[in-house]
Amino acid sequence: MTELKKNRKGRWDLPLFLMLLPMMALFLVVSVYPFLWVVKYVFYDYNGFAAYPVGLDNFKRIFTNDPIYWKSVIHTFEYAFLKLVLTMPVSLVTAVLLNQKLRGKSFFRILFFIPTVISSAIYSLIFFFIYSPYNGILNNLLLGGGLIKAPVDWLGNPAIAMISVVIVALWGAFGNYMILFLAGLQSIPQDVYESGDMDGASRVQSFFHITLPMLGPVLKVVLLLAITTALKDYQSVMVLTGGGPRDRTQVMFLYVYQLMFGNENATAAQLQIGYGATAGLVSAVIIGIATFIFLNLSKKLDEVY
Amino acid sequence: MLKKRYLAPLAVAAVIAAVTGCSASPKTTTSSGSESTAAKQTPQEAGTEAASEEQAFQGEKVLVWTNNRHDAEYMEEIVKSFNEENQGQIEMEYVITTENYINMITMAISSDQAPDIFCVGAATAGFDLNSFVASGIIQPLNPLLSDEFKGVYDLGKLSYPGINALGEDIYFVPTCQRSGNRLLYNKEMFEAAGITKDPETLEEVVEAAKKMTEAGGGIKYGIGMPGLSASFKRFLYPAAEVSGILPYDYVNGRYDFTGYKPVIEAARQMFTDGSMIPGAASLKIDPLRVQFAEGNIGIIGNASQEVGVLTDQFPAKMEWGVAEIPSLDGTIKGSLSALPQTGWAMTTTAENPAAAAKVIEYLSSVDVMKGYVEKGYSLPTSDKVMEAVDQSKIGKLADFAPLSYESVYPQFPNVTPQGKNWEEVLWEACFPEAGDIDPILETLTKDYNDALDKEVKMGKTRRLIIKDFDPLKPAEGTLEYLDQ
Repeated sequence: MTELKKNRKGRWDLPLFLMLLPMMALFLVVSVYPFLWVVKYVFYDYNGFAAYPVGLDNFKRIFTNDPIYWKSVIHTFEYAFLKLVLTMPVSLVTAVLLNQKLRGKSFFRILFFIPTVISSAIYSLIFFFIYSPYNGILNNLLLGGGLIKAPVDWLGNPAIAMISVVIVALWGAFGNYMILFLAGLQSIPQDVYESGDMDGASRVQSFFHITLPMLGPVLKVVLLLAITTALKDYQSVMVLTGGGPRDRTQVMFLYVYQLMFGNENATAAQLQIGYGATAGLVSAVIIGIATFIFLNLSKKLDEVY
Repeated sequence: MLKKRYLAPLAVAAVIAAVTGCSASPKTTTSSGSESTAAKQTPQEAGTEAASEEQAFQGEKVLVWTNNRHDAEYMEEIVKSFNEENQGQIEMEYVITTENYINMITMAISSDQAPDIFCVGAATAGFDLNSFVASGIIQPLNPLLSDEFKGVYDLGKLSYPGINALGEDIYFVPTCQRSGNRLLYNKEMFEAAGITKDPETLEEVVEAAKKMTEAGGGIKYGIGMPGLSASFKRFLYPAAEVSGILPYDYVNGRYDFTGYKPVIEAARQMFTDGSMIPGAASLKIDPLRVQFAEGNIGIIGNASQEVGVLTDQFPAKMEWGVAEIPSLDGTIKGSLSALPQTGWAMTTTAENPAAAAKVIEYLSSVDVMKGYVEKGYSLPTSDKVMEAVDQSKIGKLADFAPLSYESVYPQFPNVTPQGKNWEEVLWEACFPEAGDIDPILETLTKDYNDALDKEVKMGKTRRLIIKDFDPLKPAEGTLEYLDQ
């Protein structure tokens, strides 16, 4: 250990250590400490005032007697899957289009990227009004165009609430991944395309046989980011539906949030910080496993020709 | 080289200072005494002079927190005049925090930034007297309050077990009373649908809502409930209350939700009829209020605070009326709960309890409250205040004057079941697609009783039994708290 702290001349490398200090301090304060805190409270029934030790009761409850949590896990994966299936192709296609020689492409790049810099709580609120079944913009447009006969309750109808939420997520996320794909596309050497052209490859053939494989490593990173963020998303669900109707859009971290910070629709309910910590921990493990599986499955993406 | 070696630690120190230095503090409205007095007459001159002579303070600061924003303009004046009057003695700092109020307080307390006084009431979300007292956060006010104060507020009458009092100890004295909920209706929509008398039963409400929806031509709807903001509490809960249906069986000390079936059935009928405003499931209270104010909803349920809301926040663009909340069969079988509120609790960490008590007395004084009531913010709990109020100024608030069957229920134990909170479960049961009502209510009852048994056993709460409980006089029974 002392070798690490001393530099080659055998002196203490104080400046280096001090420069690392802020980062380490922040890491300890905002990552390690909360984690230890969470680990402590999984063994308690804690309402913010008094903590009552309950042993493994919280785990017993989550694994044997909490259908809402497991529903929320399924919904989280459903949401992540839908978001990925919609976002990835849209981002990739937009990136490919905006990588062509196109008039005004910078404008479109900025335009599509803007949602990324807006807080998801804010754009979700805007979508809340767009979706509103009563006097909502979307319904009025569709009614005006004769596409629907009666207003649709986009967020209140269990059959379509999830897809309505995913569409908002798509709008918020695709610009971000588009920029990452663009960066990846620009790193593909032009001569590969030229030799493809000489061999008579069509545009579509070039896309599938040159662009996609060469994008492999970027695609892997983008997918990893997309999966982990999608699994952790809850802000827009909180604003749009609060997890409803009847838990149809309840996702893991919104459930954790409601356990730990309360829920406006149950004014007298006490906080369940201990149980929330347990649910948070189990959710983190679930996401960890999902990420691990993805990393194993995606090894092939690293093999660039 | 030497220079460089010192530069790095300096830079690091600067970064650390920048990171740790930016502690967030809520927006404050402090008015120091030096500011010029507004020409407006301040309402407190007479009341507190005597008190200020009794005890001299020097440079005391009293930090006050509130979650009331609707009265901010008036309260700012009050704080200003207090600080002018007590210059050099006591300075009141008045902080408004509305979001996550109780969470913010508990956080402030655990980080030693607790207010000396905070505003609280029976309807303050997240406030649980037992927890606050058991954790030693607040202190009883009985010994701190002056006789003058006790003359204005009858502590015996204003002591509500489990809400603001435990045994003889009283922890806050409510200055205001939020009325029991009422049925608020759009007079024009009632007329257009040919409804001539206030609905007295839930069935008549279902009927009226249907008629108004039909007359509304797809633009106006008969009834509205905010699915995301205490949706069950605003209309259905009080309707059940006056029908004698409660979540807790006080006589036996157990939860019992099975009585709610007919109330839920009525709500389902309104959904099935299409009388409920579309999107009710994902509505919060303010958007609902806006639609009511705009004249697009026939009926909503709410209490006296709506007078302020529909006058200042979202001024009503139609004529609205106030009717009594309907019961199942038109007869009153239980009290309608009114909620004592806007009391000032003192933390145990208050540096100078005497100074803090003086602030409490000032904020609760007849003169301050007179102006408060005349502004239409709330009804007072004290008869002395009511006598001082110019009745012609309170406007629609008069429609919310206490009913003969209004009362404050003793707080039943607040437990955490393994599952959802009862308010949510009952609301979700109102959706027609939620399936059979009986099993939902039976499971809910079982979950709550299991939790009650468990929490009583672990000493987290105590079972409340009132053997002589009378739903028409809920406050008059003999309370017994059991440890089993």
